[in-house]
Amino acid sequence: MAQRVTIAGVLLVFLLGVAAFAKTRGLDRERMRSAVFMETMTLPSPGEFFVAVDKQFQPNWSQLVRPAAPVATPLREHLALQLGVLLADGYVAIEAQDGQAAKNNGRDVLGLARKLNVSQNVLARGQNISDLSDKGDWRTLREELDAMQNDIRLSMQEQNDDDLLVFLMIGSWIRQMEIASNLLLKNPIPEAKELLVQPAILNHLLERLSGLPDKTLANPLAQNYLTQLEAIQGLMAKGSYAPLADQSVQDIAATMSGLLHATAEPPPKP
Amino acid sequence: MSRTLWILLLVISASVAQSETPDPPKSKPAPLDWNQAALSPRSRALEVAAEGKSQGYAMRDGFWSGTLVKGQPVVLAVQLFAWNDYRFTAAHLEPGSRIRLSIFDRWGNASGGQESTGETSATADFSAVRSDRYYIQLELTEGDKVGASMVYSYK
Repeated sequence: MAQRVTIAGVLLVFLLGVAAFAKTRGLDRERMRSAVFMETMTLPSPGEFFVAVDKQFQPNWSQLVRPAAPVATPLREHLALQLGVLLADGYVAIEAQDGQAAKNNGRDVLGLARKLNVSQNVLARGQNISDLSDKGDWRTLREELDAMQNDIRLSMQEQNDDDLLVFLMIGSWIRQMEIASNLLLKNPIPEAKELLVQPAILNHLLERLSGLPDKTLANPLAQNYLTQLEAIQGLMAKGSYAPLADQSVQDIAATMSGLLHATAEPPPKP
Repeated sequence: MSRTLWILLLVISASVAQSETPDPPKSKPAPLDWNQAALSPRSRALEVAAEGKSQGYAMRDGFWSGTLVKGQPVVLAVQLFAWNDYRFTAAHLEPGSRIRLSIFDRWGNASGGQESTGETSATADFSAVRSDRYYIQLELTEGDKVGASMVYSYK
């Protein structure tokens, strides 16, 4: 009798354990593989990236604010790249709590958006940005800039300018990565190297870029971005949490600075 | 002849009337102004998430909306950064149903996070210890099918 009770007890404990395990079990590979990737959610906003950068480096953001100087270009893709960089720069102005820079940035974003014919949804945001900058309401300003970026994205989708959207995302991402990688070069905090490891995002951007029409891809500007970004793919494809090698940080910083420089230059002739 | 003339006049007057009808004023709501929208799972999620503003959370403009069916969880991929605090908020409009939010790391391991589940919403707070890819799972624990939405905030 006692033996039966013991067996029943062991069985009960085992079943409870299985039930507890089932409740807290992880995600299987299939679920992870089929996870929804939404560009408006899966891609982090420059705002949340810079908040993490700020916590780690506490940089002097005022020194990172740069006067915008969009260059004239006949290429709409080049304008979209510059617009992406400008949007990221807007968050730098917010981190620096520089109201005038934030207002100037909002004005420049609208100017480029007009050139790309995607300003209709964002015109009202310009006034909001100006008002919030005057008030110094930085958190709401972050939300406003995020909303502005999504409005621009929506306008591009509405007018079937998907290729512009790809360059917009790349422009914003390279500015974020350029700032973080250069801060790491000056202050090599091992844990902060994780900020540069974004393989899924890089892969997604490369997938979108290489999926563009042949005509767009044939442009030297697009080719340059494709080649340079593919070159750093290997640096980010890590299977472990081991920190990036110093050389990898240098390579990423060089690539991002080079691409950012190319964005600010007149485009090469095809 | 006069019949054709009448038809022509009718068409012209109709098009003039249409062109004179002013377009409704286009006003842009303030960012994340859920008061502007009719009640929807998203507006409910924004309403719940707005409570985090006083704690310093800034809300992302992006969101997920869709249908949750019992036994068919939805998994969303996100990139989170160490040192940031995140708050994920999901909501629906069916009082008899309940949803659960779970957070997993890139290896698929449950990553905890404080969770609270209300009548029509669920919230999970999460402080990322690593900058990495994470997965947010939304599942229906009570009820058969609901329209749901999820937003997230950070600080």
